[in-house]
Amino acid sequence: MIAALGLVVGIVLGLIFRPEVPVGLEPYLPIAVVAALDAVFGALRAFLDGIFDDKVFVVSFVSNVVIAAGIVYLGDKLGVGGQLSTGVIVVLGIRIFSNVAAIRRHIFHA
Amino acid sequence: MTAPSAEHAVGPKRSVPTSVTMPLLTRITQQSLDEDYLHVAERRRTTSGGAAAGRRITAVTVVAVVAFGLLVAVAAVQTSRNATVREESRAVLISRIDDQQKVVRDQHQQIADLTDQNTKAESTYTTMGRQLNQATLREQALAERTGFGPVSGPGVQISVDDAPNSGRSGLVQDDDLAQLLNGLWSAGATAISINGQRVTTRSAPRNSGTVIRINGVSLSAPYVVSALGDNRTLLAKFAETDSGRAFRLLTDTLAMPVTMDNVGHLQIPAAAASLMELRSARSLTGKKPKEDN
Repeated sequence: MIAALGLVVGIVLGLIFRPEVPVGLEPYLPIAVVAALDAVFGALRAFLDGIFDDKVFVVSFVSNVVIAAGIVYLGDKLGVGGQLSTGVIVVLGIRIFSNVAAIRRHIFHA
Repeated sequence: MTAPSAEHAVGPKRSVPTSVTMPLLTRITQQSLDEDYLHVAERRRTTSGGAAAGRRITAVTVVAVVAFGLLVAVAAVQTSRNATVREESRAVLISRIDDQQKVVRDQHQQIADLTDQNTKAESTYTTMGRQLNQATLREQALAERTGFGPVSGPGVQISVDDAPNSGRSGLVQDDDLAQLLNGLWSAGATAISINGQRVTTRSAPRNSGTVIRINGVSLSAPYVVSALGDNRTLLAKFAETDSGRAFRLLTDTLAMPVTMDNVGHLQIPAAAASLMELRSARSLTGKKPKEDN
């Protein structure tokens, strides 16, 4: 409950302040969001499984975001462009889907 | 890629962990939950002996979730902002394309206009060229007839000299030459020269002491008159004209030596251009005749 409130507060803060993202960081933002999404769904599943741990969540959240951004940066520098980011998106997407499937089983018992 | 094949691969080499041999997609699907959660839960179960802490949410978690919300909102805001910018630049580009297309259209119009003008100018040029040709031909014909263009062709040559031993009365006079010229003109001569001086429409032989001047040049006897014309009939016709008869009578009476010859090819030069001065002019519209002198 308090976590859902936190999410709402964060979104509202973002919409109110509309912070200007530096041009240099702009390409990292979308993939960082996907990585964070993966961490959040993982945490939700762990919470429902009864094995949630705040330290693991924060560490996985931060490391996911940093690694995703790092991979995009590396792809830019290597000249492979968006292809490396595509790989990251595919892996994170599959994880999000299976996590969401597990969450669904918990909620609907199906 | 399927589960049975994965198990099959694991079979012969038991020392290799499954995480190494498992196909990538299967592994991603099976380990979608961070293994750390399982490890920590395992450790907690062994140390404290209970799983009670599994659903405890701390301030750190809330902060991370707030950060996540912030991230999502910022990404969304940024995307929509970029979309606006892109839309604006698109509109600017489209308006620039329109402007340039208008310019191109104008220039096409200009090309068409210029081509039109070109065609008109070309047809004018052709007309003018034709007129120029006609004028040149006319000028040439007029120059030959009036004596300001050189001509050549068959003709006759008549030479007349002062009568020997008869004093001043035996000299060839301007009137005598005028008789000769008039006779030749009447007989159909087209061009005449005296001693190389072309007789133009404005030339007339004039006495000047003992010499005769024509075209402002003094000539002396013997006078050789070259006349262009049909040399089969010219001399005969000349003899039949009044002037021809009078000339014959005169030269016979005064015993002036006269020779007449048919010449196959005569060259008659043009008169000096300085003789060609404007005496009268008429405007092309033909309204106001204007006399020069």
